[in-house]
Amino acid sequence: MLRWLAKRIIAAALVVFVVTSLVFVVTHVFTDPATVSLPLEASQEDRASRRAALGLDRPLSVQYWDFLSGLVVGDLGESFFQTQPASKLVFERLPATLRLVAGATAVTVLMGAPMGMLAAWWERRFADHAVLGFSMASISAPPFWIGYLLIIVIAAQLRWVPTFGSSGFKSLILPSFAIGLASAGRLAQMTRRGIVEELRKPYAVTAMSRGFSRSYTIVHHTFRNVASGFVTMTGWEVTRMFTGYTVVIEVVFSWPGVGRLAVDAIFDRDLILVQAAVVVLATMVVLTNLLVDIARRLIDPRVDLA
Amino acid sequence: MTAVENPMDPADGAGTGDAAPPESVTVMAELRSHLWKSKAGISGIVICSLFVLAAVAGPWLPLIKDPTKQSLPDRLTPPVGWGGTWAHPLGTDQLGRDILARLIDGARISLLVSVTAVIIAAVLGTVLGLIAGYMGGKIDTLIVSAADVQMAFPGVLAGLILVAAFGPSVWLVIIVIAISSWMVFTRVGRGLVFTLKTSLYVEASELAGASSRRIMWRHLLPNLVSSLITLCVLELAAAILSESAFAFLGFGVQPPRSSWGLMIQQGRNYVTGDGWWIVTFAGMAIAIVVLGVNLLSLWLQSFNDVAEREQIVLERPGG
Amino acid sequence: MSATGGDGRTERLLEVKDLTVGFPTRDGTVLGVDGLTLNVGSHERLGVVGESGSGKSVMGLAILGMVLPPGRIMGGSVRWKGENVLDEAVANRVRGREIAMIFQDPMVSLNPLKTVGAQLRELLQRRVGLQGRAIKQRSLELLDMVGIANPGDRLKSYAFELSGGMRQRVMIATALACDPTLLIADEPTTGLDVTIQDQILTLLHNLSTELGVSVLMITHDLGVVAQFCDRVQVMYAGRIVERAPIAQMFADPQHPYSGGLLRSVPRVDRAATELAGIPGEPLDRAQFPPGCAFEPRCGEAHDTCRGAPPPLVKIAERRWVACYNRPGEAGETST
Repeated sequence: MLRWLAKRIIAAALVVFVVTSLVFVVTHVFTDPATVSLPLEASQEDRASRRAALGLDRPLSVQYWDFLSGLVVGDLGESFFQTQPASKLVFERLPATLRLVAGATAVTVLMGAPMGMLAAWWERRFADHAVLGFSMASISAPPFWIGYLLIIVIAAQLRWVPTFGSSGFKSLILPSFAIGLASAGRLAQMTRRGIVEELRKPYAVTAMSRGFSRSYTIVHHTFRNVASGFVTMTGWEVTRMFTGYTVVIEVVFSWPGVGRLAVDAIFDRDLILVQAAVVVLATMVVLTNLLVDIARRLIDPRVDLA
Repeated sequence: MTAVENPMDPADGAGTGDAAPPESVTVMAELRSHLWKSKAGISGIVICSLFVLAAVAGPWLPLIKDPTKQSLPDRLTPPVGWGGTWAHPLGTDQLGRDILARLIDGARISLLVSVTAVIIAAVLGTVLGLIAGYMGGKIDTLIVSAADVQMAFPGVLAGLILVAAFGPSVWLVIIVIAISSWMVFTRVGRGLVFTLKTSLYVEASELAGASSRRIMWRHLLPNLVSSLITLCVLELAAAILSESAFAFLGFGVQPPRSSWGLMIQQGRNYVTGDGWWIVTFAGMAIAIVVLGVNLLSLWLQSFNDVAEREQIVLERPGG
Repeated sequence: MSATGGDGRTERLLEVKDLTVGFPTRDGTVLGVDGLTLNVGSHERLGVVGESGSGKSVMGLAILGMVLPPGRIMGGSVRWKGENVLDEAVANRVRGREIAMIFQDPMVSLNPLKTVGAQLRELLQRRVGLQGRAIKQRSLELLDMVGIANPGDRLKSYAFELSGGMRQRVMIATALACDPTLLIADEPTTGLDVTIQDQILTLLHNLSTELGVSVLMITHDLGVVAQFCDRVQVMYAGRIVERAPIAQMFADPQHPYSGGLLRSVPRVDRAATELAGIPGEPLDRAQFPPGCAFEPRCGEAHDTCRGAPPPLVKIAERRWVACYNRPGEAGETST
């Protein structure tokens, strides 16, 4: 187990290395932070002097080495626009994003799993069709639109919770649902499908032919196999949250997280800050995948050792 | 249905290919007869057709106003039923432009971006998958690793960094959507080649001395087609959603051109006051079209499932 | 309905009447089992034989009131000692305890993530109500009964650690765990080596005699039927086409399909040149003709055969056949 874990951690670190290197290529080879920060009509002299000021006139290999060694100690460069360390700005915002992801994951799991079980339990009955209908609707609606609908109906009309910002638990509810509904829809269908498939397998049929009830068979015979897929799928939804949903939803709800920081930085032409935010979010994705692998390994020891 | 993008299931697509070359005529006939019995399939086709019609023929449709014509006295006119008139059935936006006209106009950019992106992703991904599956060895390892890295660095993140570096543009959005979905096609293509590689007729033509490139084109590709079409539809839904998200963030189409995501961005300051309809109808347009595409894909999948199920029920050895 | 179950010594246990199971497909509903009627008496070994696609597997589960979705039981009745098994409450009592099933492929029919001991324990605890040491004791006894050496060690094994024959013995042990009165064996020897097949059949035969358990043997293999059963029913396309005691069936098959089946079995007392298949392919289940399902493959078919399916009629004592060319005794029909 320890050997396996060490291997997985090294592999994860490798992915972070490759992703950040790709980011570096985009931000330093194809263009550079100085050019981005200046208006298009800026003169050659302006560009050159700003490049020199940011140390971008040095050879690329030196810059790359600087970038990598900075990465190791958590130095992600200096935000040009805000003249502060980019890592400081990003890590200030990270807890808000993590709270949002936690809230959305709670909505996903607490809605998705029971709906999936319900649908499998009453396969091809009304509950099954109702859950399918919910899933189709939730995955088809853009999350930011769901966000605005929730604002229009629940915050503006009914005034149950605050509309924007992040003040306390109540303000977490709407953005969590805006993100979590689609994920819950997908998770419900996956759970349903997993259970239904397992129930058709001969060993489950045998168990039921021996007089064990459908519910007993679901819980005592099919649960382990479905659980592994459930964890994988939940992990996948969490990575989607880090890489997409939170960015959009933070903009909708003026949520002070990393995603909105990145979007604001783009409009401030602050390439270093965008780069820092993206590197941190990508690292979150890799960490999530690592945690999912470990969880799956604990559930099912047959997970391959590669 | 399940996931719009399902990265963990390469076997999914691999299972749907038949070992024998498809007889396209019968398959089409069966698809059609299955369609008429499926409410999901019919609704999906109808919605998608309306979407394409709006995108292609939008400006020539009768009774549709000029989507760019501003009229400040008419600004924020509510839709019919909320105090509005049939002059603007869905109301007007903050500049007095007709929302219905702008919705129809926005369909074009959604269709253009999403379809182009999916085509690029499908072609690129499938070719890489075929190469990886057929060549094996180091090339295979390289392509699979690239797909794995891509999984850890998907969609909006790649979009953020590229938009930050190169500035917003429609083409960038197309490229970003394409690079965040190619690996799905690669996995399916590769998995399918692996199963087919061992099947008899490929072995036979290898014995007969056919070149490997010819084997790929003549024998393997037709088998890929049915799974790939299903996958394209699935990815199209994801692409339309991505396009709307990028437009919403302001990374895609720039004003005065219009897109559904951009309409929501521009209408968002009015959601809590007088103008909830801008965001509501624009989002509804996205949701309905994506629902149509998802229904279509649900139907395509259920068609495969039914075929499979009948085989299980009726061809189980010994009864 | 006349007595068909036994010869007077036996008490009637299982009565299946007009059982019909349908599967919706894109071409309409296909009947997996079409009006199945059969009776099993105590101490009886009944064989049901038919080729692939004749609905045999569907039948075994349907008798327990179980059908894999999207299929469903569309009509008919299943009575166990007079009680309606299609009633869920009765089924829950009967399944496993009174009627236990043995499946074709024990590799996948045993739970891959549970040891042999855990699977027996689960049954003995929840379905029989044994406690503590009695469970272990009974588990060892069961494994010993099905001829497994070193039962103590085997309790800790997983299905994948056992050989094919061993797995089927474990499967039989789990079926016997609750002292059932009837075993439904669904192709129990298919996929096993010939010598192992023989051992398993002998084991089942001995067990049924010693424990007084009736067996409903579902198989495609006439050899198995000849070796094992007292009585046989031949199934074609979800329907029973002939029913007879074993000796009479082999000596004098009445339905053209039964005749064909017999001729396709190699026998030592006949030259290989006489071995003949049944002309034509087993039917695509979605395209049944309106009349006798065997008509397209039958050498003796005439116009009547294309009208409606022939009823199962009694042609002699304990002999029934569904064929227009074998008129029965008046008034004695049973579909």
